[in-house]
Amino acid sequence: MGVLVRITIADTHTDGVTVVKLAGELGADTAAHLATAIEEILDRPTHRIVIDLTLLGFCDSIGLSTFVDAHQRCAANGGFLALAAPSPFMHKLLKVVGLTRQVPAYATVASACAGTEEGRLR
Amino acid sequence: MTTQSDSGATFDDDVVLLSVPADGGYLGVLRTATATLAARLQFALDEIEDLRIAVDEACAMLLVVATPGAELECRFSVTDDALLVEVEVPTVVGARLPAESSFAWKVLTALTSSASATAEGGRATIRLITRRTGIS
Repeated sequence: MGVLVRITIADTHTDGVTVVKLAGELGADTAAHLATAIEEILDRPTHRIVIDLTLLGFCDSIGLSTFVDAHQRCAANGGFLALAAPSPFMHKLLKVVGLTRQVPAYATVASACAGTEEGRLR
Repeated sequence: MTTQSDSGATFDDDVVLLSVPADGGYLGVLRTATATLAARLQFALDEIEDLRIAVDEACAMLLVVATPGAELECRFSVTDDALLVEVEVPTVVGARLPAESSFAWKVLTALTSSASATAEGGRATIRLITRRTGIS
């Protein structure tokens, strides 16, 4: 079976934030790929991660758990992890399960990198 | 004459049976089948998304307790106003599904009209019903 999620990692120069761009479907079959990618980023000295959800078409509780786990690990290391640019479907899902109260989510990648209240989704 | 089965679906409803290896790699197939059937029933786009997640959640729970090399059986029953999905796997003796307080169950129940599970006699089954809203 082919891999249903594509993970692209890019470092921004202005904010020192690592942007992890997800495309495809994140679930029981693919969440381990994201966990591995996050693990590699956590080996770096700074733990400032923004997960770009623009092209993520599917996510289940295992995918969401990966976000929560990564967020807690970043926070424990003095960093942060934020979700950015969810589709209307993803935003609804994050709200329904109450995840926006645990992991900060922003309307755009730029606002997530800035990390202020501007663009913060509730 | 229409006969009522124990699932609540009637025998002259559209029924689709799908059996895939109980392996995470096949969840994508089930998600796609779910979306196609829900679209056929004219569910709204956001309802289709909810159903894809719900079926995926149910199947992911069963994969954990399935015996090695097992088949995951999905039965989709299309009625006038709802889609009933039953997923089942053979399990090892004494297998337990996640508690209803688990995150996976919270997601499952938030996205369906009703969800229930049984694990007995070496088989585990999760049953989901999603009613279509805004019938035109």
